[in-house]
Amino acid sequence: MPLLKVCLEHIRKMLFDAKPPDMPPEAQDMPELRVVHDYCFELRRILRDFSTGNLSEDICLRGSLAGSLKALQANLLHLTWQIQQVAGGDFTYRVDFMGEFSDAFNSMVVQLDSALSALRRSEDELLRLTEALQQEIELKNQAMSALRQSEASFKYEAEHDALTGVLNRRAFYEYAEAMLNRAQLSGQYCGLAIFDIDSFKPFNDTFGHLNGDLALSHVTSLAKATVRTGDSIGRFGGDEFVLFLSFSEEKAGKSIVERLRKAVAFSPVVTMEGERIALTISLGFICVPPDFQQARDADFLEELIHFADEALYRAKRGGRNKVSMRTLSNKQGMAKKSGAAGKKEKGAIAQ
Amino acid sequence: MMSNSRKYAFSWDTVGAELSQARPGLGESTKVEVYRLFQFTLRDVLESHYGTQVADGLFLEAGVLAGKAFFERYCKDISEPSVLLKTIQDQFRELGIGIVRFEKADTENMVFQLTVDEDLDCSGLPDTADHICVYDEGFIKGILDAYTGLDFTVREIDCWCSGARTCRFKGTVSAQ
Repeated sequence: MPLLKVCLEHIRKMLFDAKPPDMPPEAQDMPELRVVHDYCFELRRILRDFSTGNLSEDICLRGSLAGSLKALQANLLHLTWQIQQVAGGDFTYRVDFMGEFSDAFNSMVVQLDSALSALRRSEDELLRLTEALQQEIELKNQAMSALRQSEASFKYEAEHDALTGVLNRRAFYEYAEAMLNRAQLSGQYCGLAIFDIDSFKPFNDTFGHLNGDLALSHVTSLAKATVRTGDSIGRFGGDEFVLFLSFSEEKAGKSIVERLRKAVAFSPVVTMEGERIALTISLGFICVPPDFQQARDADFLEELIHFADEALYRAKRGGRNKVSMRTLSNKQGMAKKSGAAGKKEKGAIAQ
Repeated sequence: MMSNSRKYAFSWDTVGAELSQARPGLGESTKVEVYRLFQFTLRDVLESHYGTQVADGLFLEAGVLAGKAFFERYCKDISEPSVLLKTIQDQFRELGIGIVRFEKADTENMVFQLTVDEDLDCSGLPDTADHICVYDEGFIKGILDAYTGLDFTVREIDCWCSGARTCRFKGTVSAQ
């Protein structure tokens, strides 16, 4: 084969064949063909790298073809860098090379910028709404809290005596009826005591109503300090108060009311003028054993109050500053002058 | 013996101000060939007097001075690297120095790689292996040095022709 044809065939194979051919033996002494062979060999390597996305290899060729490859490599590297800038949040970058690819890239950046801006606006709006909602909830919670406080305050005022802070008559009745039943269920004694300040009218006439109020507050403070947690104090009106107590045995109940009597007798009230005035109270106390056979209802409570009132009367007649006590007993039945006729046969007052 | 007082210490004042008014008829721009006529005749004289290596060294040094002056004038208040790179791209284009495209900007390891198309100094020159863009190397080094406060080495690592001539530069921090 003529040498020229050998050279051309070799170049054709370098361009078209899957595997690059070795230099033909006939042309080993042709340096020009060696240059072309090496150039094509290197071109194939570079193009293979590019086709697999490898842009980092140096291109050690010169000339027009190599220049075009270098330009393509530079453009792709630059484009990669531009994309990294966009990925970093800078949407001001635009590409002005590589024709349609540039248009697509620029369009993508604009769309991304626009979409992200819309998202940020939505996020801002969402944040604003969330804050507004949180403020609304906070306001509502404050209003609810104020309402609860107000309700609690109203409830307290509806159930308590404004001067002394003890239960009023209606609230005391509700409480005492419930506690009567609880004492029976738990097998405990309970008792009801009515007391008032001895000679309170002369006290009022002498020291005035404001000091009278002070005396009432003073006595109720002592009563609150004397009774145990769970026991209760009510004001029936004027200087008349009522206690409901639960205790384990009869003696303990008597001890409590006796302690209250002594506490008042040994604690003079200090008037607004600073004068110390001795006070005494008289108490009527009715004790209910746990096994006392009687329905623990409102009528029964009324009867207890009536008996306690009678006992108080006896304490007064006995010279004041005294406790008059009675205990109910199943054996003797109820002995009451009026009301609750159907229950009379079950219980009685033990003197 | 050289005098301490200098005649040609560079400042932007020496370039002149209000050039459009100073040249109302011709305008503030001139042809690239005039710029190159000046630069390459100066290269010629420097090389003939001091040899190629010294001439290249002087051009590199002038490039550094120009790069620092460029930074002071156009980039002084920039703190974000990405803003600096964009400003360089924009100003090079605006001033007709060349079309800069960054290929790598690794601010952690301080490696920068970029290409300059349509370069004012060398576009249109033959595609040879000669290393001729020393002024550009100095210019880029001047900017990077001024921004980072470090001492960069900038090298023209490749150039090619595909229509216009393109040069690739790589800047790294000089070994201490």
